[in-house]
Amino acid sequence: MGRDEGFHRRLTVITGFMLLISAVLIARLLSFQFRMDPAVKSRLESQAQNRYSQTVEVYPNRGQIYDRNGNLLAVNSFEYRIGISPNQVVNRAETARKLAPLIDVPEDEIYRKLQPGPDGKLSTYVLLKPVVGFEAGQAIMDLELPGMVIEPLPTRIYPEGELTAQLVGIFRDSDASRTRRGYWGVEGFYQTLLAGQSKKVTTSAIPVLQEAASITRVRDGIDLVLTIDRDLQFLAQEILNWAVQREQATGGTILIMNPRTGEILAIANYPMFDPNSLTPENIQRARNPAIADVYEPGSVFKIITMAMALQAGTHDETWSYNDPGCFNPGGTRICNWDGAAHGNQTFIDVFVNSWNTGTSTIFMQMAQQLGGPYAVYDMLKEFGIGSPTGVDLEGEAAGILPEPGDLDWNEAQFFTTSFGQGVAVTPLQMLTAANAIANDGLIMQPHIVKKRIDGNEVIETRPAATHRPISVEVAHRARDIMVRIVEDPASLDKYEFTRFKVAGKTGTAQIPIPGGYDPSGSIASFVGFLPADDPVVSVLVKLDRPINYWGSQAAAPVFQELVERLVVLMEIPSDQERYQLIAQGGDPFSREY
Amino acid sequence: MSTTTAEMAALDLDEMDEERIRPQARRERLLLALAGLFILLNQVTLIVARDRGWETLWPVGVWALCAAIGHSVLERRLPRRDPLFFPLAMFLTGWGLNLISRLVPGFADRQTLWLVIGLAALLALTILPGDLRWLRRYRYTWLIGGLALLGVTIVLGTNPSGFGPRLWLGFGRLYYQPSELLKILLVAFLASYFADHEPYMRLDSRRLGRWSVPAPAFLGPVLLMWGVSIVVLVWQRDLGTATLFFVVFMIMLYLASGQAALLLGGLGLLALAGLAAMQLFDVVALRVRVWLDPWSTADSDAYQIVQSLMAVAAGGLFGQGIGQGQPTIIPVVHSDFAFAAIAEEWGMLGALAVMAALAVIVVRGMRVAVETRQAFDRLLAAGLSVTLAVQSLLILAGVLKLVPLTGVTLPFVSYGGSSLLTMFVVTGLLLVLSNREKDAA
Repeated sequence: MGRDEGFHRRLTVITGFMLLISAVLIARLLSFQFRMDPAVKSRLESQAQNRYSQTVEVYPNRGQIYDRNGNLLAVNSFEYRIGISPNQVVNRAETARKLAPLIDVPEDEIYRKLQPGPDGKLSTYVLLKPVVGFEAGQAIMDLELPGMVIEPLPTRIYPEGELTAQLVGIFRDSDASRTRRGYWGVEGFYQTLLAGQSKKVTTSAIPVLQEAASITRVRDGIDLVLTIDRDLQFLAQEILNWAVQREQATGGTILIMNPRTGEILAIANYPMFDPNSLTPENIQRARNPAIADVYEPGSVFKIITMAMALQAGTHDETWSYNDPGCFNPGGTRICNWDGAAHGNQTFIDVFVNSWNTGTSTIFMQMAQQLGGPYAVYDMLKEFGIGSPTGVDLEGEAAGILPEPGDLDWNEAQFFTTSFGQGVAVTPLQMLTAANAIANDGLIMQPHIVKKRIDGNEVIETRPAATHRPISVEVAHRARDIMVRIVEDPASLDKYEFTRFKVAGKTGTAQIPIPGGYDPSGSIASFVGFLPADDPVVSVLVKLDRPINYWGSQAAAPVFQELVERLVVLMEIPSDQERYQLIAQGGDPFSREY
Repeated sequence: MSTTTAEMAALDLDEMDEERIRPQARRERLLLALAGLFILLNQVTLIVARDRGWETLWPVGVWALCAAIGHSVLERRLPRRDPLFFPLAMFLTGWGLNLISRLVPGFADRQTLWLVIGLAALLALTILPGDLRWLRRYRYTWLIGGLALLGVTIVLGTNPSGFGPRLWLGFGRLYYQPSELLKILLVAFLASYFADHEPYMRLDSRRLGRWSVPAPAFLGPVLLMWGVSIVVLVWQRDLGTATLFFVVFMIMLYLASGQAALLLGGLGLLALAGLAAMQLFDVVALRVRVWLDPWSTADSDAYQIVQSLMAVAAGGLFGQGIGQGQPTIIPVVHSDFAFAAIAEEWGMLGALAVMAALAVIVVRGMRVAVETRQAFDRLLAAGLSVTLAVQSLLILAGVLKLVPLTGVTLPFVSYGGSSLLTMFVVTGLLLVLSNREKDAA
């Protein structure tokens, strides 16, 4: 038994020793809850900031964008950025095998990224795929693989795709930061409104406590209803694409507005921009040429000259001059488009036949009678030439109107400006100026947002007049001359609009290149509105470098084709029907346009 | 008549046995039922908290089946067993299943399969001849076999996760770590060797001043076998198991020889070996560095231990609740840091419950050793208990940052089939030994 006792004693010693260690462990365990070493405690607390609470920016829903009839032009969705923490991965081979098909990265590449670095350590984060789509992201979440880092990236879906891409703009990463924002068009201009108010929220990572920590609400972005009519936009684009193909043009624009309100109904451009492709050449096309690119408008600009002369009172329809064909005012040689002299020509003849010598003469006489060219420039500025229209689209250009005193001004430019050379405008500027004639002398603020919807609150954009360059009476006289331009049997720009009286003017602009003008191409354009006596729609058609050099041949037929179909779509009654309605006491345009 | 009397006597004896055994069996059933309730409750809570499907209850079903089968087989084979071993082992294993379902749901099915394998091994032990002679007689064969298996690992070993030390042998989808088996074989070898040489130990001992040291002839073979084990483990960088072997060996040597000097000397040697390992192995140096100062590298090297401490601190008294803490932030939490996850989600009470359950198994194992007279049996019972205890203490102290991390599993609870199987074999051996204890009495 003695040996047994010895053995028992030793067992007791060992057991006691182990119980002693257990007691130390228990003391240590208790210390975590009751008497923690202050140094350890403070360090754990600083670490715990990261572990148990996360300060995250909670993003509001971005405002959606609709056309005027409620068709969606921009909707929200999510993409995901897929990363992983290799130090938390449990089974590398399995992780790589399951992820590979979902993120479209080879299995062995993922597996390699999960390996320890050259120093033998596993990193805490590796980016696997910068962007995956919504479905793939959801599928990865469902795998519940340990170590996955799945960051949602708010993204936009543009149901109309290319059709509205240049006017709606896009939503993407900025070059500088990883957060996304709107660029160009409506997305860019209304970035702040659409984005809403995000909020930095410190959330507890413990599910039960999470709710209590994030009480305050984020402010969602404001929905926007545009003045754009999707169907009209489609029509404009279809006709433009047809025209560009037919004329083998390098580019073009069709802009449709309501001159009464300044609403932009359609902006079609060629080439188009694909909102879902981020190739550099595609991104180049993201800017909207209708507001961002300037061109010399050419003869279309003569309608401004005409309205100014009538407004100034220096000229009227009875005025006439002797057309020399070519002459040399201010040290430059100015010729008619045909280079020929036509003898005595009236004020109306000047515009019906588009005589450059006539408009130059009118400008010269205006300057003489008004005490210098400045008065003329002031009137041009009243039409908005040389300054941005202030349209609510990002990236608008101001246009170029050199004035006396500017380095790029010379006396010759004063005369050429009268027929649209030496002055540069955007298509929107040109049409806005022409709208003054259509809208009884008032220029309405061009705009593209019709309503802002903030929760239950709807804010309508009120049409606002910005300038009155001409009086009502002058506007009507100028309009009548524009009708003559289209209708006069002697006019080169004569078109048959059997059911409507249309006011319009063609233009053929030379393309300025360094040191002169490009002889090989032109910009053919047409500006017009209808019905002439009570306009509800104004249109600008512009084709870059068409096969047919002249605007009357290239652009005017496009306008004609567009109008034929546009009146059907917009349900504009023919003049005859309209007069009948008025005779019966109705108002054909009481409907909102 | 005589036969009838004999039958009557046998019947009486049976009835007497029944009288004595029934409360034990009832206690085991009660404990198993309580454990089952706890495990079911955990799993249901997990399903609700984490929005899991109800089909994830099935590991609990398998567990209940295992408990029922285990209990009834043990009733038949080992009627006089200690009624605490099996329920406690099942309790910790079930808790481990809860934990693995929560931390790495994908591994729950494999761990459940290992529970079935472990139970089968445990029950197989109860069917083998009762006196464990097979284990004692062929000690060299067993140990050399185990070492050979380990040797095979050096050549053919893999790692299920595809990186790190290749300590496993693959069998299809299952992987086994031979060093786990070696734990039992080494303890059995030492128990057998010391039991055979016990009478001579004192006679042959040499005096060195005040201390008496066992003779080299006695220590030689055992040092050799132990040394080979350690060398193989160190070769494989399985340093946690090597440390465990070292400590268990020293304690068993002390238990057998009664030389306190050996124990103290052994601890000194362990410290020396630790210092040497720091020089030799980067991973050891790293672990010691992280242990001394985790804060400067809290985001990289010490991330695991710092997150573990945070988990323990965050648990509070009653824990965050299963599925509601953040234990998955700790890298490979389901194996080395299972204890930290329990401390976070079940709180200090949960952690103490795990410690208590392990402590009761160890103490009951020690009781088996005390109550058994046969030298092999009691040394085996003591050795197995000590192994369980030392392994538990090593990982608990590591997780609580009292000692550098050694990378052993938390018995029964951690994910890992080899470890679970080993612990079930240990439980089975203790059950067999506890059953025999009454025979001797």
